[in-house]
Amino acid sequence: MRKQYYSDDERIIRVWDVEEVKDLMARRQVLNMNNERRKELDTLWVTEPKYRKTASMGSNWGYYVGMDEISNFYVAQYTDRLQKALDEKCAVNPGLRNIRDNFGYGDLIAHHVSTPCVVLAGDGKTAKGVWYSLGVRSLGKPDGSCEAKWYPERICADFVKEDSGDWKIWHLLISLDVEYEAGTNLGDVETFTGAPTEAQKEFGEPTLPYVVHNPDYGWSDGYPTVPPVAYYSYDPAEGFGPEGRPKWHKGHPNYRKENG
Amino acid sequence: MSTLRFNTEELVGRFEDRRDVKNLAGKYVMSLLLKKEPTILQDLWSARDDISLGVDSGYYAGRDALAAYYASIDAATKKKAQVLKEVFPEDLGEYSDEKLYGRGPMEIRSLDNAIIEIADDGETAKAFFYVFGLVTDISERGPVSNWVLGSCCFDFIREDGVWKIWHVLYLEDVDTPAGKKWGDPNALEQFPEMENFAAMKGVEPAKPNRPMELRTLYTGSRPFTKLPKVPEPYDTFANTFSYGADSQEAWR
Repeated sequence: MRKQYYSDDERIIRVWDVEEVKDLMARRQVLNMNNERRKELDTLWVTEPKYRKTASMGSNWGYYVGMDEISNFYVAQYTDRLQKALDEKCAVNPGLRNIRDNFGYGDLIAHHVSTPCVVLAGDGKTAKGVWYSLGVRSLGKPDGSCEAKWYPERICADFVKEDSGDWKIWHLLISLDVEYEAGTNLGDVETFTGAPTEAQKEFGEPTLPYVVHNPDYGWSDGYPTVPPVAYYSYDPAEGFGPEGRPKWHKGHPNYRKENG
Repeated sequence: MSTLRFNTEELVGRFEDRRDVKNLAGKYVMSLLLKKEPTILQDLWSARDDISLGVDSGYYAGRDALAAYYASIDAATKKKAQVLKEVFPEDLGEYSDEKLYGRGPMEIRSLDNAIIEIADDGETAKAFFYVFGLVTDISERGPVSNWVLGSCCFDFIREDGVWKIWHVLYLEDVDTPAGKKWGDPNALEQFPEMENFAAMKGVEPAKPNRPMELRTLYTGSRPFTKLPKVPEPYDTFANTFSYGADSQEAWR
């Protein structure tokens, strides 16, 4: 939904707003792939208090809400995991120094995005975007081998143009469609193991646990909606933050009592 | 890029520039897929002498080095087609050399995750793309299809009003046969040499004229390796880094 008329000045700014949002997401993915998570939060995410409080990072199993919660999960807990993994590698490989520069030794992270679909609000203050990422992550093991996996996922976000004029990430939702080992036939992958996947275990205990996206049933839940529909002004109930989470009804395979 | 520093006319022009260099990058990888090596230098690259292509094992620096590189690919492409003709005489035996050209290899590289900056002066541009590819080639092991993951970075320069490629930095992290484990250094060895493809032995592209290790392929014991530097807003090329052979700032 848009205003009926925009001036030429308004139109070209709107064109560039979409470009800047796409650029922002691409830069976010590079920082993620480089393990520069603190820099990502400090430079690309919202800075104004009203947005920091409601910022969120979600995945299939719920949402971390507020920049402090996000930072604790996304940076502090992740750094602890990197340290633990390095400890294990150093224990086997005495030649490997246990220093911060060796975090991620043997790891490869590739969550590059493609297929952008970005919608700018009619009022120009917010934007929504959905990308697909044919993600790859390979973790080095202490013996020097690695565990390589595919992580195909939708990456969705709400963006806000702050008073500075800069676009920032407000709500991020990473909707993982499947997780399986490289070099295996997806058709041979056991779907219903009953055990949490590595990605689920890593997602920890979010502020708001919730079944956001359950791909066990062949993506039948239809969330997050793609593409985002045109809109005039931001409505949290239609966003990619926790207030926009799908409202599973009783009888839906994703419905859980805790859904509320 | 801040839109505040430019007027409406300039913003329209800069959007067109962004679109044009993105298209040029697309033409570059599509030209590799379509085996346009015989004409790619003339069609897409700058006329300057300081052009360069960086790969994991070093730089092809200068016009002569790039010409020799593309000529070696051209020769290999012809050889592959001839070998296939011999292996499949019933299917390809009647084909002319021209019709055969390009059969065998299939180099698919999609350019994702675009980060593009146009200089304030509009004379140059820079781009970073993540590369997700499927590259099939013909060697003494027959046809083998590899997953390819890496990055492709460009410096572009405007010549007579047309954008051209100045520098390419193409670095791979993964180049592993499909169906095998990434990071397995012996994955290719699992494809034995085939007698009827023996003529392909030793057919390789020319080596970089400035050999140096820009990047090593991923294994489970490779130190964590960041992506090359991505473009940041800049006013003129002298005030930013280069993806060219004379600067190592982009990947160090």
